[in-house]
Amino acid sequence: MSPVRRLATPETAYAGLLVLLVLLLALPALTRLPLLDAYLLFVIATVVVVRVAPATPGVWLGRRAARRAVVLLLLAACAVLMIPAPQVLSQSVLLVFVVIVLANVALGKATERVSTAPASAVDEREEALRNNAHRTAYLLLGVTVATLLVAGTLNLAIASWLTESGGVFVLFELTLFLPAMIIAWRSPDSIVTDAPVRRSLLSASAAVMTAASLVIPFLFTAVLVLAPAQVASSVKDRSGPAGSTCREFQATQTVGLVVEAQLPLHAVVCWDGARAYELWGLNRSDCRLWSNTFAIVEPVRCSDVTDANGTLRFAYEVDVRPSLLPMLRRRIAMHLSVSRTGQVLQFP
Amino acid sequence: MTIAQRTRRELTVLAGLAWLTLLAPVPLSLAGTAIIFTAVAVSLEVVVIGGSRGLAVRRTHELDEREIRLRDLSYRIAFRLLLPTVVLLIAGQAIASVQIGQPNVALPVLLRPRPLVTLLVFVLLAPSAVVGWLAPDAPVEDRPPISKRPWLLGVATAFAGILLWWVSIAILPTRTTVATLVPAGNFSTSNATCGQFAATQDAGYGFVTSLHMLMTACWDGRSAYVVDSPLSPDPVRLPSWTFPYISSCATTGYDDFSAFTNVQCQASTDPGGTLHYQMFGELAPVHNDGQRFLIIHLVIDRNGHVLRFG
Repeated sequence: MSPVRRLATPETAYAGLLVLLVLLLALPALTRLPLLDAYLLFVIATVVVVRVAPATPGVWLGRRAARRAVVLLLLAACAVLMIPAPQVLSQSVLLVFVVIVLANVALGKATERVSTAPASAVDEREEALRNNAHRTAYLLLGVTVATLLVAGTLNLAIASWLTESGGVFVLFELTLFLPAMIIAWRSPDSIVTDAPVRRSLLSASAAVMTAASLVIPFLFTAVLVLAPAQVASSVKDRSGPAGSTCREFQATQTVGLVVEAQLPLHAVVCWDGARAYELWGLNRSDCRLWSNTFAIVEPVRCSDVTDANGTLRFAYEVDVRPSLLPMLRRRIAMHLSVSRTGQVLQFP
Repeated sequence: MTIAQRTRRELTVLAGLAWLTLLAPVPLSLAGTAIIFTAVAVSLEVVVIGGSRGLAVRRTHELDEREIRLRDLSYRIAFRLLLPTVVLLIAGQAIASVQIGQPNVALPVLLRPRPLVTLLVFVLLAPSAVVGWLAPDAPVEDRPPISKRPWLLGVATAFAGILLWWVSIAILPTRTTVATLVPAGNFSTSNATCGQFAATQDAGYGFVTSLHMLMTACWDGRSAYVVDSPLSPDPVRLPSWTFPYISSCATTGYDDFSAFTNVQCQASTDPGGTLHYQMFGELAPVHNDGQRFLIIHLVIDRNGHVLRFG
């Protein structure tokens, strides 16, 4: 069967539409981060190559126990997405998505993508198998969705849970993959032959591209945690109150690439020989102007003091954690210290 | 099959059109007529189920090999139609939420019934509809005598559904949920304290229709008053583009399974400076025929104490 025909299934079309929808929603981030665009294009290319490459379960995924483990892993990941605690979800959601993507690829290999193959690619036994799997999937999904939705119209707590958890994503996942999960669960052990497995160029490309697609986000995560921050700063003279001299301080610290956080500082500081003081830009609200992409920013310190010598000391520190591996963190600090005579002691 | 394939297909198309009216995001509100479209879709499909001998809902041991194949294929086709249905429903919800907007004060709300009923009707009936569409006519010699049973079953289902809806809307008790935000988020005045008050009164279990009150009130120790409302004795006038969701006297905009008529808000301040605010509306289980009176009370004294809310 030609690769194009392998792609031409309703499920592929639905998945394509979903991807378009997600890209549309992520448009603001996409226009800002060309590297992210390139990565997403690579992911789409990987999906196409994986989809057209012939899928064979191999020795490992040919075993019923291994296939069932994959199914249980997928269900567990879906259950995590349904946890009714937004903070747990937001901190682990990307990792769960990676697990789901990996398990879906394994599921496709384990079932040879029988559930979504075109009619011409399956024999009578496979046709009966997948039709029956779809019936079971329909009944399971139908009863579950109907029960939850009826409960959601009657009970406020259930309604809040359904709208605040990852229910929609789980619904998409199950609508696309539940029949394959049922086939994987039901099928017996494959007959293992001693004949050497011949890997086509397409299969090898699919494996390499899948690995790269999964590794790249971890590389971006490593850059966020390990690479030095990029600092851009400028100082300009400004007019101020009578008897004072003022300067405008502007700085930006950026950590990471694609998985990134940016800390800005923009303030005017004046001094009159007795003390240095802030004209604007060093308030508590100015410590909340960070921007972040696939990273979590937590403010640690925001202080603005003038010491006994009249020196103004402003410190603004945040912890940045990558969304993919939120257990890692790094601290970024922004400082501005100006003496009563206008000497810049620390910036940024 | 007790009903000819052509008739089954015609009935399925009609049921599909009624169902598509429920699915479509426009019009935003079906003004109480959604129950009619639901009853039409369900009852016609019940006729189709009866006319195809309930093939989609029969157990495997009751069917021969050909019928099992047809039944399972129908489930596969129905399953494939499920995802686009869900996507369209979610897109419709997104459009509705943009049109209606969200107030500052958070108020938990039940799931909107129209998309849910749409999905439930699909989940329950889609495989039967596909079976009814695909199942060929039986050979002439095998055909059973024409039976009125499927049609009677369809009519009975429609009546049962409408009765269930009427009991839910007109008889079962209403539920009220309230939320307050003091001080009122991004709204403040220099000489008074302000709060935002939201309440929802839901009528109907499963076919929920809600009266939704959103009101911003201020109090200064001398009196309490409503903000940005012509009802206020001394309204603080603000450009609506600055604070778009300060006070509103309306339904949720989701009046699909029953409609409110004569929705009104009344405010008065008594000599002691206490604000008495009421929102009420007549709920019409049958469109334009007021049957039930819903009312939300809010009483705030001049020092901001909420004496009654709900």
